[in-house]
Amino acid sequence: MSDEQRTPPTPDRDTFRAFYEAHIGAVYRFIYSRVGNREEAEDLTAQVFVKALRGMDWSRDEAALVAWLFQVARTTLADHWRAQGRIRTLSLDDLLAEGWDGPTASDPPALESLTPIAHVEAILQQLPPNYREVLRCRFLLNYSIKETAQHLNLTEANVKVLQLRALRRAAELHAGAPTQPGAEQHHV
Amino acid sequence: MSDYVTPNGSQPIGQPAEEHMERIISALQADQRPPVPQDLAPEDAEAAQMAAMLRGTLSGHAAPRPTFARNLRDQLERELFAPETPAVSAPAPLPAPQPPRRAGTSRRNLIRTGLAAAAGLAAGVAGGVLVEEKGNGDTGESIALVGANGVWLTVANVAQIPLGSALRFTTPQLVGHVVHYQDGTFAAFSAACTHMGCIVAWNSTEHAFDCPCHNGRFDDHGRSSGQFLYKPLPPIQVRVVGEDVQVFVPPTGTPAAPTPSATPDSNGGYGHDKRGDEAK
Repeated sequence: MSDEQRTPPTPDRDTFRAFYEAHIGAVYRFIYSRVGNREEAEDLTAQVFVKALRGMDWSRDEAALVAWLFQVARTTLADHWRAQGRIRTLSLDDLLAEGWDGPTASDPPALESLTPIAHVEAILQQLPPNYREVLRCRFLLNYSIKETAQHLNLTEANVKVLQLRALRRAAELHAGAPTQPGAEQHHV
Repeated sequence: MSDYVTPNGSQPIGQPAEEHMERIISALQADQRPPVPQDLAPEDAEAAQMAAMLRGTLSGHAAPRPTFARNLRDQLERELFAPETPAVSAPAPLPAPQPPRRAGTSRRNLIRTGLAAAAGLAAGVAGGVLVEEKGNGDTGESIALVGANGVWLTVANVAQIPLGSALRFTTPQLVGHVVHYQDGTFAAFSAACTHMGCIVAWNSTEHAFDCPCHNGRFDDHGRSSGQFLYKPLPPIQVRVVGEDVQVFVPPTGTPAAPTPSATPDSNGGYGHDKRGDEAK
């Protein structure tokens, strides 16, 4: 990191711009898929680029640059959760990490394949129907608490209880989900 | 009804946790930063993280706003391709006229010593200022703003800065604050937030500097003290000569008289989005 001797080459403007335009969307989507709101997604995306460019070795090939970029994104997210007291790392992070730590081919990995939608769907499928339904209302249909209560024929207080339990259960499933440390990685 | 609210028996659920979670979900639905209660139990912190992921994956709101992407790109380019020699330009905060850009070794030094700090400088410094190669990112140490060839400029009279307060000043190169501590000593810091370069404002109630852009906060010693940890505000040397409070700033070809100012007009709008703008 702090190699005093080596001076990373500065990219020319076109190189930088092409790299930025090619990856800003993927980095943002990656971050957004984890924080779920624009304010934090923009904040963290900016941090990722600022931090990544600081250590960027532009003489490396693009796959390495992308790997570096997403490594920074991952640690930035980890720092973000840590700052909020959410220390336990989640297995999906590990799974995603595997994908980025070793891009072997010269072509960058397909970013879209890392979108954890399939993972989320799998978790939803494992939930009891009432849990699944309340989460669908809040996060897929974007219903307000009131609309959700009407839809489920519950009081709003009941919805609050239900959604908290559903999220706790989903988090448990998430934490114990597919890849355990040491197990073979089977990418979905 | 009781079909839905099955007691799971493991632990009683307090009302606060449910209310916290509802506030978090509401914020996420509004695409806003969710509140982070300090006393959230670990399992609820993970539940909140789950909520963020559900929202993030299911909402389909995943493309960066074009204005955000463009602003960030412009900011990064300014830092990467700023001119090699410090440019002196009008004290007008931003945007400054840009001299021809070329990359050079000093620029590389700048990048190596801390692009984040440079980002912080961007808003407060018109043109570019050489960052002394001193700061060291991983210690969280701040970076000296001025080399050996700076100049002392009077920015205030001692009487203008009551004990326990801070006064903002603007020089041709930077915007900063002089703090007058309760023990009578002074310190000065760059006002450019080390996060994205927005200009922080003195909060006399909290005795802290608040960043208007992303809720950054720094204590009266320039240390990050808010919800998010950023590098400290770069210190500026300060001394008192007679009744004059002087700061050590980069030399300038056209030494304009520094004008102490308390107007919050130079929040350059660099690299950050004006969230309110687009909320119709």
